[in-house]
Amino acid sequence: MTQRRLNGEALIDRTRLLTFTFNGRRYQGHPGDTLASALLANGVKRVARSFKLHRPRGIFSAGLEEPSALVTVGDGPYREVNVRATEAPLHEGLVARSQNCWPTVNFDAAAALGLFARFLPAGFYHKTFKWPAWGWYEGLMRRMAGLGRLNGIPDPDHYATQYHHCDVLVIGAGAAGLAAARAAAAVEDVVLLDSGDEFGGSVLRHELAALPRLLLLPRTTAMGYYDDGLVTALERIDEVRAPVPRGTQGPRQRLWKIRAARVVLATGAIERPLVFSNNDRPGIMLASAVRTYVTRYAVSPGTCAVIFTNNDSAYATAFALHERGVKVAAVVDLRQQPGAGLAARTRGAGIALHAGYAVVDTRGRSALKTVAIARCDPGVTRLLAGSLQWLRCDLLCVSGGWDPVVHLYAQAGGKLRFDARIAGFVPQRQGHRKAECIGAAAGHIDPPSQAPLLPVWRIPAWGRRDRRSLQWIDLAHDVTVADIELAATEGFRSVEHMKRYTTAGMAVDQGKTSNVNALALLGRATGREPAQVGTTTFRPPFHPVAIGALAGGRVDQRAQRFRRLPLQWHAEHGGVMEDHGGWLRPACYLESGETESQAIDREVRAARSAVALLDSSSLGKIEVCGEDAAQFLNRLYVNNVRTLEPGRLRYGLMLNDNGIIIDDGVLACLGEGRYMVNTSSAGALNTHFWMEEWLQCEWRSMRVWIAQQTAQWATLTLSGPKARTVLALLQLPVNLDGREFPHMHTRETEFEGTALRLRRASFTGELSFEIDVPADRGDALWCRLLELGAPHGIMPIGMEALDVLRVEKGFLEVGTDTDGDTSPLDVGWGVAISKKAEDFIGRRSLRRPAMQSAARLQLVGLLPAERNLRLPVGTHAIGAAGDIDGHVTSSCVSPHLERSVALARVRSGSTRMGQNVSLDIDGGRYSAVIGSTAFYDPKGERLDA
Amino acid sequence: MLSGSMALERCEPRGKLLLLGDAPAVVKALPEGIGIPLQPRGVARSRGSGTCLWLSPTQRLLLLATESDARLAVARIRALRSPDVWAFDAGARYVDFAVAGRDCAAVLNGGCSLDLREPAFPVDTCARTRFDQVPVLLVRSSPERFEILVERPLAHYLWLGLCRAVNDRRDET
Amino acid sequence: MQIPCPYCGTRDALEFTWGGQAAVVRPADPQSCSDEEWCRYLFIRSNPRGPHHERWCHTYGCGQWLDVWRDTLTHVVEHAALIGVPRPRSEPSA
Repeated sequence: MTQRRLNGEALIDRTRLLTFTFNGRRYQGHPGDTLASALLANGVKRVARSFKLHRPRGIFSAGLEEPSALVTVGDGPYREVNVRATEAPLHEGLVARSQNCWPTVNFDAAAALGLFARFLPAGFYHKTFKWPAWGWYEGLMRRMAGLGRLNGIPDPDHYATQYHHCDVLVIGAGAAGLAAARAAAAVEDVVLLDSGDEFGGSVLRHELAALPRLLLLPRTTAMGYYDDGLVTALERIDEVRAPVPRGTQGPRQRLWKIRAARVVLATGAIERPLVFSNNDRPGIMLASAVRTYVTRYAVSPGTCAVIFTNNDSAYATAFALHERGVKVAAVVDLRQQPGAGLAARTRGAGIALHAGYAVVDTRGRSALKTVAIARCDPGVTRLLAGSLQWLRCDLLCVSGGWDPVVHLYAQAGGKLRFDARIAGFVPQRQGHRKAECIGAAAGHIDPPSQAPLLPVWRIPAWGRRDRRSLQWIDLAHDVTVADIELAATEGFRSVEHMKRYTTAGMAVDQGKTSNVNALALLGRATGREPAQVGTTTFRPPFHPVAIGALAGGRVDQRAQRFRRLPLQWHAEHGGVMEDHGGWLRPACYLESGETESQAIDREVRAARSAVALLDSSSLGKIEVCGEDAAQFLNRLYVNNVRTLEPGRLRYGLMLNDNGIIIDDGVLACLGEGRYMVNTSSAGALNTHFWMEEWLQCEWRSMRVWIAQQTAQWATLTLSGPKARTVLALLQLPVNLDGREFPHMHTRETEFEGTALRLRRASFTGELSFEIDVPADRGDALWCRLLELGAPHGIMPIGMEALDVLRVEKGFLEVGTDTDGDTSPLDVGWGVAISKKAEDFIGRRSLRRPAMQSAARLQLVGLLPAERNLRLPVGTHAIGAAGDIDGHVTSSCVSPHLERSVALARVRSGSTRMGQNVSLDIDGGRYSAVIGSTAFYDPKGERLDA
Repeated sequence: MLSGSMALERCEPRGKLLLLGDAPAVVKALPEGIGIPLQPRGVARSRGSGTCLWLSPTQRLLLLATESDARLAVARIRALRSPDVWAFDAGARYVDFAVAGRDCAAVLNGGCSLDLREPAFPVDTCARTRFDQVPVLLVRSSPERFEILVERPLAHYLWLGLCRAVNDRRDET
Repeated sequence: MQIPCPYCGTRDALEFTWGGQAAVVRPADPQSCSDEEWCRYLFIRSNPRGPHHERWCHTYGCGQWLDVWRDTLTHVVEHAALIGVPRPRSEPSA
């Protein structure tokens, strides 16, 4: 293919060649090129197929607004889809491919769809694919309409996050931004960021880098403005994705979260195209983009150009091409009277100027070959008969004016107004809260126009055929004038509704070049001015962001924040670590050749026959102290705390003011005005939060202090008939005899120079001691107990075994056997509550009629008729009328009872003892008998074994 | 962990004492010579040993040279039997890390949203805040050094995050 | 969004926990109040589009509960104070 490289100055390094591949063919470019400029330099015109109709598309722009030239770059895990060719820096060995075409971009089977364009209008999904079902079409549609294919391989790169504070954040390093940043940096901390890395050229950049209070962020794009001056921006650090060994490289991208006292938006403006028939062919480009390719990359995107404009700015493109020796066939200006100076200069250069003309059609099957121009009336509402003529050209540079980049301003809550001068939306006023637009972003387009812009939203079609379905507005989503008008006809007047119905502006480019044309045409179709139609809401991100960049460091081991037990022992000894209430705890300990269920069974038997050792360190440990501590806890818990004597424990059930159970635990009185509250593992943080809320907001005069000491202590639980025997071997200065130290008592002592606390509380039904030692001593004590207990058959057990043990005993677990609608009356606490004299949180709600209803779900035990069937948790009980009669909350096959047992919440359960319920498991019906929850040792004789 | 000019380390264990109570009562209960910070985010350094950090209007954390110092202090305050001052050994509750080097503030800003520029966060300021998803207690001990106290169950998760934050600044040096 | 904690200074909203409408009065003696009064306390809340009086806890900071006057439309926090400390008169009333 022909080389289209021009002579003259450019920002590329012509002394070096880079080889790259596009669709399997090898090409060459230079450092400094983008993929787009290198493709244009090699004469490659067709780079993509359109989203819906598979029309051939070329490179349309030279920046991040690109709607058409989306390609797939890279291979294997580094393959990235939907990359704008205009943004991808060229590097040696770059591999890029077209998307959305089969078999090739030049011959695409689905392009036949283009012939049926009129059968695929706006809303065709909703109208056409209703029968037999959407799913029937989905596979086909997914293959035909779409973008790049993900590689399905984990992203090998990593991404950084960085918070930053500054006084002034300047976004955009054009002339306006540079001036603002330099001025501010003299007295304030300033950040200046820009999507490129020039910063006004090497001399100026050097000068800026020397300013101590100025931070330059090149290749960084602002993504969103959030409340109170927070701007997120994505820095592309490593734009060449290549397989470098992991750990040897820094992050690929960095997501900045910049909090600025003042945000200055020097984000510039984006050129708007004109809408005419067949305006989507490869070779039709934004006039400013052509100027960029010529001056920055020394590339001419064509050999013979036509300029089509409604404003002054595109003339610069004509001159730039002309000066570098590219033929400019004509300038076609919609205005009857272009600026006199520009007109003279154009004619002086020997370029034909057609004022009062429009481009009305184009031809060229795979790329632009000719354009038709015709004379129009001053308002461009009709074409003058007989004026049509065809011009040969392979490059059409269009300009419909400029749209200030006001996205971040609007996200900051700034209001926009329609400025007739530029026929676009500009900030309503200067200095909105903490974000201010300057320069082109504020609507000040340079240089000032000699003649005003002529707003024209759509060029009339020539001839008798209705070409509105060939007049593209949104190139990225194949939205045409016909689609917008159809939406208006069908009643979608709101711009937000039109957008969703036609999908205009919903592609990856978010309509950066198409939104204003679309809303103006909606206005025309509904008899309104653009100002009355207004814009859609601007939402972050401004530009597509890789999910990896948003995830930052929260991947792999850090994807989820788990709390770790103070003991390292478990994972090193077969512990299967799983999430239990946000803590990583051993589910069971696997011995060699064992399945998990065999391990659980072994552990359960050890607890009932010898002694089990359990790491309960995650148990909540909250110290509640002060003169009013007893009264405070008495109000928080259903149970009577006033009568709790030093050295004793009491089970506690905690409700919210709706009368719903929110946590349970064990309360210990350690001395006068000194309590230790042991909450459930998952409830430690919430319970502390709950206590502080009541203390600080409601009972402010109470003298109570609360310390969240959960992390201070490791808690090891010895449980089983030999628990006392093993504990005695530690030779603590405590009398362990059952009469001296009975069930539900606590002792404080010392062990090897540190504090140690003992509690006799049991969640297994066996004789149990909970032992607290400082967290860093946990491992040592654990190993010591294993050693001392070895002759007595001590065995470490995990959470699964504990669950079996507590279900056998019918001990409820809050959040498992209760939910957001469970009151203490539903779990058999009615009698105990009636004995307490004082009020407590939630008590009043227990008197509400709904709480007293006989039809509530109540906690009961179930004995399934099939003795070996473990009932799946969540199994529904079905009533006689097919209604839901309750559900299973916990279940196990008990090794000691040699049968399946379950806890369930059943409608009016407490009055239905001995009756059968019918259970539905995957459509099969099973039967179970309702009974007490205490399946094993109902009298609790084993607690003092 | 060392990377370029940055150093990230886990500190030696030291004694820690959680003090609950209103400031005057706490001052009264402490031995003479040990000061407590009265202003929010304050750090009080006492001659000899003892650095006291402000946690909340009624909570302070006293850092002591050794764990036995802390245990003795707990016993001492408990012996006063004052209903208005409560002391708890917190030596095992926290794990301490330190990050030092010219970019230490930027490393912490890899996960912490606070303004750590020196005028906003001078030496001998402390703050409870979050690093990523972890509650932490930050203390600036010098212009180029921060201590980070974290509750033990989340220490490993935080350590991974801090290592990452150091590594993520490789391109800056 | 940011909230100016009276103790810790201005911090990101990420450090705070929302606690719903502030100054909801709990009946002094719940046992003797009517179902209606109790229902009003439990369930009835204002849901304004604009200025709102809420309570927030500085969970990741000093752990203190605060009275916060926040505009639900703009997220502008007009004032934050310790619970029970009245709002200065110079502030426009919510």
